[in-house]
Amino acid sequence: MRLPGWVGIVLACATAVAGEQGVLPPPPFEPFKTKGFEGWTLEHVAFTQGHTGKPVGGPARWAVGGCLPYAAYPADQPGRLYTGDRESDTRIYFSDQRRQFWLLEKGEVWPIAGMGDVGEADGPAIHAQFHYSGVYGGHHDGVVASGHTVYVADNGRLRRIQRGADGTWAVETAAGKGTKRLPPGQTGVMGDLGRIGKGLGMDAKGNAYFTMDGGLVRASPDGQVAWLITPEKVNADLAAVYKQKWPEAKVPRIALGVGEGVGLIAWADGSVYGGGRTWPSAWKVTAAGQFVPLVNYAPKDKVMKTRWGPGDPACYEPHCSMGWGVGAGGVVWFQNEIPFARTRYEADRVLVLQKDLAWGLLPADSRDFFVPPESLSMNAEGSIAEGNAPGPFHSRSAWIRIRRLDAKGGER
Amino acid sequence: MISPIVVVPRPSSSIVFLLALAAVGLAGEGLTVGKPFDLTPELATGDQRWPAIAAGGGVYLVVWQEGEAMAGVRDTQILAARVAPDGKPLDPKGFPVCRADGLKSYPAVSFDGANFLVVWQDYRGKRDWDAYAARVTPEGKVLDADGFAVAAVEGNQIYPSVASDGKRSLVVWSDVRPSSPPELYRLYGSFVQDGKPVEPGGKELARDKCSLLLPHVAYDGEGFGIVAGHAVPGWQPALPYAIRVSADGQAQPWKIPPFLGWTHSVASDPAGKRFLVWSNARGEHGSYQVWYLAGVCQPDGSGARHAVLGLQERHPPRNDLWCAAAFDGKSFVAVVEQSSLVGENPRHEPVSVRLVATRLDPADARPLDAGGTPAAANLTDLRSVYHTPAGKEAKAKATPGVQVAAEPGVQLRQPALASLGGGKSLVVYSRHAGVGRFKIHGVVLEQ
Repeated sequence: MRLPGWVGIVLACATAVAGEQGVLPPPPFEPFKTKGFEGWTLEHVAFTQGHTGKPVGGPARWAVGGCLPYAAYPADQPGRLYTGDRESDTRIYFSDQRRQFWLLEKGEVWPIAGMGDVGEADGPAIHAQFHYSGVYGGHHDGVVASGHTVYVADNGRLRRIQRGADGTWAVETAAGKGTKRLPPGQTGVMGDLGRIGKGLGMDAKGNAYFTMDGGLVRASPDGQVAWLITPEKVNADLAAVYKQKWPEAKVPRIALGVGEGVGLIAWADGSVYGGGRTWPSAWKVTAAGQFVPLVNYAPKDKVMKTRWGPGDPACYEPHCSMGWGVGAGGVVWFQNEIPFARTRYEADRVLVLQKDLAWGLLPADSRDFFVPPESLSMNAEGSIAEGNAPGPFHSRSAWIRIRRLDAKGGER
Repeated sequence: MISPIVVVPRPSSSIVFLLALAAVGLAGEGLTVGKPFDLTPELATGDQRWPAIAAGGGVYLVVWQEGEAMAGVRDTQILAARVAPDGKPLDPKGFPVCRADGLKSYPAVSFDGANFLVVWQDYRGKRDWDAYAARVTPEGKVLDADGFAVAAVEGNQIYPSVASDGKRSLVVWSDVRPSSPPELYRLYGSFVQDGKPVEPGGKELARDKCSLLLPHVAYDGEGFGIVAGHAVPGWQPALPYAIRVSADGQAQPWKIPPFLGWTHSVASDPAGKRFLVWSNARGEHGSYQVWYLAGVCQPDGSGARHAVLGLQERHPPRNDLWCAAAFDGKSFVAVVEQSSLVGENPRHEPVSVRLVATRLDPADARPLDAGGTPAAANLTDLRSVYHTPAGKEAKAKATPGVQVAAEPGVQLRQPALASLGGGKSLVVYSRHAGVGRFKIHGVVLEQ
């Protein structure tokens, strides 16, 4: 795979809510400006200074770790968050390339679990092992957090990292150690389940969503599990779409949770979005349990060679997803690798984020799309920014807090 | 006393090498390996990591970090134990170097002719990391209870390394201070004499546009050589670069040939005025192959390097690859980790990690127990050693080094190495044989 030419400082960004003083570090974090972010003020919040293999926690601005994650996700997507909960947009969890999980809180960043060793050991976090290893382009997609609890979809198991009353952290396996499957139409107990699939989401009520046997399961906070959609229904719904759009084409058989960087986003309307380096590249399951493919699900001979343009988003394939998300109105966007452009998938066209930070339909060969400076990019809708794919493994990483300025130059 | 310098960034162009693919190392019959032993056999359990070792006063002193600095963890400790030249543990329960509360990490140690000087990074102030030190006699007595601060100023002073010229010790570390934005680590240092820092808080030795991390220092008979990781952004490796600190404390750039940028280790032969750099790099995408490059550098910066072949075919990404080197009185010795590659995704998950060694010719770093080929800086990228047919053939024929320790399903990590001379050396490492069971073990090497 060819590496992107933009690789520079790895950057992940966290939002900040004005008025939440004392959560993130106070000055002397100096605001800075960078090209493409006129009207915004940016502050360094935390760094990982390099990939030394010897992590250093402590003051967030000087932390050294095994590379921060490829992306942090918008705070309005609780199913995709590393942030702990809505009370504080600035409690940020992330995992690094060494199977170690970190917490940025109150101006300090410390490892909370995992020592880099491969395995499935539960117990005190200092000895816990994970398989979760930061697969290129999507290692963040199997983590959700709520309060001081982090869930990780980890090699077929759902791991729970939780802070105890004494401030230490512990890891336990919430699902995946058992042997039971979930028959269609039945419910079960999370702890009894056998291996789960890739991808993990959580809604505002604390319901977790994960894939299993090619379908999608919802687990309530009390540990009860039920199908949101069975694998059979997924394929039946896809077949119905094909019958309508491409009746002559052979209908592929799909399984949710297969691919790399499989992510799930529990959306406010009760649907669950999924995507990543998967096929289809993005889809959703509605609250009523209907599978709706969204991006890149056309027969191969219908797929465009370009990344954006007019027409059905079914026919556009994101290149090597470096991250994806759901924007306002439930519109999916992807960060492509080559070219390193952000694309957005509307009903009848695929737009690209232009240099002026507006979505548009540039010519296919145009280079006037927005290229994140030093791998920084942001959500054009506004209030949040995110980091993009890094240079991988020796990169200096930086977390940036971004505040949008109002017309008078003050923070919104 | 120590003059700050500004290090000019290295060119970003790839390292190039002259290949002599016909060159293959000699057989490794000269290095014998003892039986691995537990350094603290009277401690039933342990969580012992990041060992460091120095030799002096007729013994080895091994120090390590007990515990891991994580959220909610109140204390980690720096412990020590002595080992006789024949590998007999002299302190089977170990002893603490510092009893102060707070997190302490990443120790290093050297011998100054009279005592050992143990250094570590310390979070006792709960504000940021500081560099601390304590002297330990060859009899195992800690002379500085709770240690003393070498540098405890605002900001982080981390990754201390130490070397001695027989009288004084030079402690160097990575340092970032609020007064030095942007948040980039620079190299600082201070001599330590009679249990006190000559320059409390340290003096800046070098700075760059990128952070300078994880310095290693050794005394080569004329001065102190320091090699640190150059944490450049993006996909570029953290290429080691070097500076020297003279006996009178002057710091200046040291233009030695380039080395590889994943991890590195240094060693020295003060009598021969030679300084060894052992460096590793690994291809993350596709091959996952590990490249090794070793070189002997003279005080004037001249040197000879060899690409080392045969030690390791591949190493999984996202798993650190540690190494160590020392001069044993006859040759340099280098020890590296070797991984088995098994699991659901075999490229990503090491289960067993072995230790493998090779001696290196003290004149030019030619591997004596592994394959090797001279490397020069102006012709061919090192990739050619591994990816061309001739390179692959040379690698296939290369002697694979000497196995130091190996156990199925056990990870032997973070080797450290020191020698009392006479062709004998002691390798110590953190033996990870199950959840929460990291214990420091050792192996005597002799030629």
